[in-house]
Amino acid sequence: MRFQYTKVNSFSPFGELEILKVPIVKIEFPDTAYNCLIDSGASISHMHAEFGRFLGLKIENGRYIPSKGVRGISFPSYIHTIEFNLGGYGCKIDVAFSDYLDFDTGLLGRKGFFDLFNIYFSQCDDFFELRPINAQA
Amino acid sequence: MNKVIDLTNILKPFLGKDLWVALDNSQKKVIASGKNIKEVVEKAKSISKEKPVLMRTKQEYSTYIPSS
Repeated sequence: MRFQYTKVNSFSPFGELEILKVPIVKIEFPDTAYNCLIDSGASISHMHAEFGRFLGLKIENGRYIPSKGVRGISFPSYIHTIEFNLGGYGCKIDVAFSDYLDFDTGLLGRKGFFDLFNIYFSQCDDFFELRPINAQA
Repeated sequence: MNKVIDLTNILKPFLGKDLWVALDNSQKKVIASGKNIKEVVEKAKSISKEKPVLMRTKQEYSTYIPSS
């Protein structure tokens, strides 16, 4: 499956506005869709807890983990297994939900999501590909 | 040719605000926004029959690499 990169506004670490090109996919649920960044730097997928509550999850009933950002500051997250559709493929992965996720999109990380797809990034050509590892992906 | 999806202009009015936005399915316009995700989805569905595409408007992409 081939996807286009997405251009977004972002603030640099110095507070300056810049435009970034990022690999975002639209994952689909029965009532809505949610934009998620494919993030090879994330050890596990993360989503905002408000979105999890919208899906009907009782966030604090999930398995607690302390997530850490690049600054090393940890924040509480709770793991739930969720299912969604991506480009016609049904996906089932563990996601850490947190009220402290300071990010525009969900993050699709290595554990779980990267086990379902081989991923090829071609930022210079403005596209990336997800190749399902098996028919169950 | 691969054409990028450009969210820079449609999200500019929401820059730095901590809101949920619902985009139309083609991601060319914002159809609803607000603090409460449920209200944003309900408003989007009252405007369009398409499945709304949700995201927030924090505008931070470059410095965050969660691990656990």
